Amino acid sequence: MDIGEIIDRGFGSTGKRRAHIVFTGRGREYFSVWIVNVLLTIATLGIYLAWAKVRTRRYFTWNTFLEGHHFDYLAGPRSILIGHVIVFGGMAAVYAAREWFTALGAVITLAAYAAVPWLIYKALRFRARNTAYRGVRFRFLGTPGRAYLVYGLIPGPFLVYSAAAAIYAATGAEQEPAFMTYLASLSAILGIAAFILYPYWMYLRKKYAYGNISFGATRSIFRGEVKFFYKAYVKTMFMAALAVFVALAGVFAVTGALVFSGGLASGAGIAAFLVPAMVGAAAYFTFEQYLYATVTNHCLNNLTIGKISFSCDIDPLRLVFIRLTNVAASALTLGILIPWAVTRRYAYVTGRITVIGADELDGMKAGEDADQSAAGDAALDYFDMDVGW
Amino acid sequence: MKNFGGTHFDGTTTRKNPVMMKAEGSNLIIEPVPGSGQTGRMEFRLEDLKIEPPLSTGFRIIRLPHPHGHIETPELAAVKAIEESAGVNRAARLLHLFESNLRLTLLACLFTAALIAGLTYYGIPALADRAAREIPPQAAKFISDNAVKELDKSIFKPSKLAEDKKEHIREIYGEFAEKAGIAPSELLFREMAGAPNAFALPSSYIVVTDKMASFVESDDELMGVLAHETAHMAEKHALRQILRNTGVYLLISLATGEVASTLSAGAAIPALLVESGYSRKFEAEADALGASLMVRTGRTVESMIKFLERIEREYPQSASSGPLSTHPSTKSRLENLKALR
Repeated sequence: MDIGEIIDRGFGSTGKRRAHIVFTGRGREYFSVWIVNVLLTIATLGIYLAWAKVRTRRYFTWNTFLEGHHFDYLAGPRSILIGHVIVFGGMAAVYAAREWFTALGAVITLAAYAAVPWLIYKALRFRARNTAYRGVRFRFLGTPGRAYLVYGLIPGPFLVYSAAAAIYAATGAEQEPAFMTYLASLSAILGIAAFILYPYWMYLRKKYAYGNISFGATRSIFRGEVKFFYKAYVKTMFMAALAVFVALAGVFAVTGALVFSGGLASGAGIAAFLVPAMVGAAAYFTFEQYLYATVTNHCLNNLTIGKISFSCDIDPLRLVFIRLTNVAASALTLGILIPWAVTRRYAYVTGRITVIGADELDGMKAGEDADQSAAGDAALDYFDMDVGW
Repeated sequence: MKNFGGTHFDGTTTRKNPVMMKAEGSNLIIEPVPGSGQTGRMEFRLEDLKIEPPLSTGFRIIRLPHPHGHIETPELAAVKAIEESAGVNRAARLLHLFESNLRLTLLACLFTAALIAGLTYYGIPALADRAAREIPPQAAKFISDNAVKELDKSIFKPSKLAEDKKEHIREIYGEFAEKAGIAPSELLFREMAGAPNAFALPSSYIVVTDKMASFVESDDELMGVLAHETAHMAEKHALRQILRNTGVYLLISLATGEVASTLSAGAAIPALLVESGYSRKFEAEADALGASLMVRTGRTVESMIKFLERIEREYPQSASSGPLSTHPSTKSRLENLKALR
């Protein structure tokens, strides 16, 4: 027994053994996998993408270790390919319909959005079921109905309103000032409502994802709290504002130096392009990553699967830094450094996760089998939606 | 073949069982390690097994038929031998060779770079231009009509030009088009903020702003501008540009394997560079073709040159030249035009 274990058993809240998640992947190694993926995907006009995804996910799961055992990714490329075809076909149909029936464009788009909660449900099931540890698969036990509530009912009114407003604007009818002010205030109210409801919506989405997983036959319990999401949201907004301030200061310093050194014309031109880009990027990435870190910490800290619990302490500022430098590096190298960026971020995040009660990992049972469909999974990747975990 | 060791996960619990395996004929025999307390010998036909393709990990995975779980083994050579004798995973092994050998990886890099360059400079433009030719004029008009509607709602304001002035412009443009042997596009007059401007909408309309109508000092200069825009129209530049940009966007999506992720936002800078490159080429073409149209209709290139010089003096371009601008530098445009005198 070393000091760490003594402290854990003595002062640790539960005296349970902790195990860290270890990522053995490396950027240089993943680069080889990635470049071959890119080459074949482009050469096959995207058909190989299904195989590429499987290889990528396998590379990451097979290099993620817990207690000396790695995770596994079981999906076959063929089902993912079918998913791609369905999504691609669906999107093409929607675009075509919108072009030829422009007046109904908003309606058709709404109808397409109606499929989204179902696709999310399918994607969560597919992703969970095809991930395994020591031969036991994960499962997702959420219902499609709940998906419609969380991803349909809540954003619904806002989407419908935007669509209706778009249709109305498209008709180009003359509007009375009184009606316009009414519309404007309605928009403002809905905007404020969306702003206020967002953290609650985030809580519901995370609850749907985290609260409905099971490792084999062992179901998860999610004890996240709504008020934490609001706190996290406020902190994140503050951080994003700070980032904007820093970015503005930085950009003006750079362009000021340029102007001073005599490159006036080019300085002004570059500034016109740089300022909105840098400030926008700073705000967006800071918001995105800071929120992700804080929320993920909270979700994992309040997640239990049977007798196993988790501890997650991602440093939000470090994650923001990682993201900003990753994007800069990728941009400056025309994308070549992407594999290093991806492995770096993954290594950092997984490295901050601890499994508590590792002794329970032996002898856990598998669950009943269920059907699988890759269409939802493909839709997620296509739209890059931040769903689930 | 020799025995080799591994771990069996039966898929019903997380418990692992050490096993010994041997390939015999066309079967794989799996036996528990003596002393492990397990019983139960398993035998499977090799063709019923799925040997997962190799990745650069220190283990191989062999999936057994449902519901027997899978086997893991660090004996890479043994599994490779089975693969070779059974003749499976040939493509996957070739793939892995490219991934694990540095020289081959670099070769793959070169191929990828060449493929992307080829598509960017030849493939996408060729396909886009071909598609632009195939698009029926009604479809192009449909797109332009929508564009005009949108622009009328946002940056366009109704033209304040006198009706007889508009008539005059239409008339001389009609003559110009007839002499040049080109079908005339419909002229639209609008007021717009900013510098004097004129532009061609995909294959149907040429928009002339009030500021442009008053900025030109002669009919010749105005025709110079319209010749440039007519050249855009005749060569379907706008449509080709849209299609090319779509192609570049698709290429980036394929390369990064996703649509509009934040990481591919970093890869969007090359997209902008490429698209601006296409645009500059079209602008240079329009200058050249416009100049030849001027000559063909009995006018001179001189007025185009004078116009360009004057507009550069009064409305100097802020983000002048550079890889991100949509037009070639005024300096090079003037040089090219002067060479055509």
